[in-house]
Amino acid sequence: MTERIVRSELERAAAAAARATDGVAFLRPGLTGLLRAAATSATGSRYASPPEGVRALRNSADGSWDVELRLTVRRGHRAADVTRAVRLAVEMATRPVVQGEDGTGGGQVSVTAIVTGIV
Amino acid sequence: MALNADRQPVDGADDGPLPCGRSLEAVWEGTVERGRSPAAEAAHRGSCPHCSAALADLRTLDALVTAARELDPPGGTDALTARVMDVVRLELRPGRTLPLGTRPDDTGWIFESAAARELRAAADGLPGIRAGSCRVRPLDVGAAEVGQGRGPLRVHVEVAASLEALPTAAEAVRGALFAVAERVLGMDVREIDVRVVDVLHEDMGTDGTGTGHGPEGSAG
Repeated sequence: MTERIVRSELERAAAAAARATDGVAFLRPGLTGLLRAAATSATGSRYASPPEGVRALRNSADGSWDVELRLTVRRGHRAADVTRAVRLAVEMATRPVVQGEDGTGGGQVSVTAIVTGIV
Repeated sequence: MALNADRQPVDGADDGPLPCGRSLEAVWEGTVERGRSPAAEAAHRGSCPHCSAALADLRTLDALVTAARELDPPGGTDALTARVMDVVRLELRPGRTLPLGTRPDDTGWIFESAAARELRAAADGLPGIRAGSCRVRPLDVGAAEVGQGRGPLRVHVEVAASLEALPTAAEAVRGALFAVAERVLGMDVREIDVRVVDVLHEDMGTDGTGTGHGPEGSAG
């Protein structure tokens, strides 16, 4: 698989796992982006949508991946517990993606979740 | 947003500028960025397709919020509008991040603005107290560099207090904020520095005549 395909698949798997985690309200683009996207489709504006709330970056040094997510936490859930749960869920969801890529089993994914707000 | 070598998110513009170089936030709020002249900006925005599109988006967004008001949500429409714009503003100005969780394998972060919002709200909830600015910093600035920026934290908060609340203000604010740091956020706050910078007259607002006319209601 090419790096581009792996990145795309990592981001897709990570986003799905994060959204399914208890206490996650939404990922970036979040409320601003949703309103912006709704406004864009309503006006037919050509202003580009902001990127998805997940980004996967490959470390050229050792071939490992960093996945960064930006999310909002649902009120009533402890923010640190949510980011921990997201990390575990995303690690589990992305493991098969990188193991499939590298025959030597060296694919490692580091997950960072950033809370942008509590809603 | 990029990660530095210690995997701490690096501050940066949220979505990047519009193709013409202006920030979406400046266009939406009608402000002029540092280094630009108001007259030149007005001329630019009148003719630039990117800025015009962004402004059109804002008007539609405004219409969407107005339409949402008709749904009559609990808490009232003003509360909904305030919450929506609150989240939008927070997302447009991320700023620095703070570590979440104290376990060795925790990698979570929260934007200072988001944490400060919760801390200030806790102070505001106390009788006779109104929160001012709120900052969260590493407890020991020197050690923070060594510990990859995930060490314990200190909160600096400024409040206005009524004469009745004044004697116990610092203690009450400290208690409320420690509770939020632990239960709502899960942040390792070790010290909370409370400064009463203004006197609150419940019926008249703060005392503008004398000592301590400090900053209030800043973005935190």
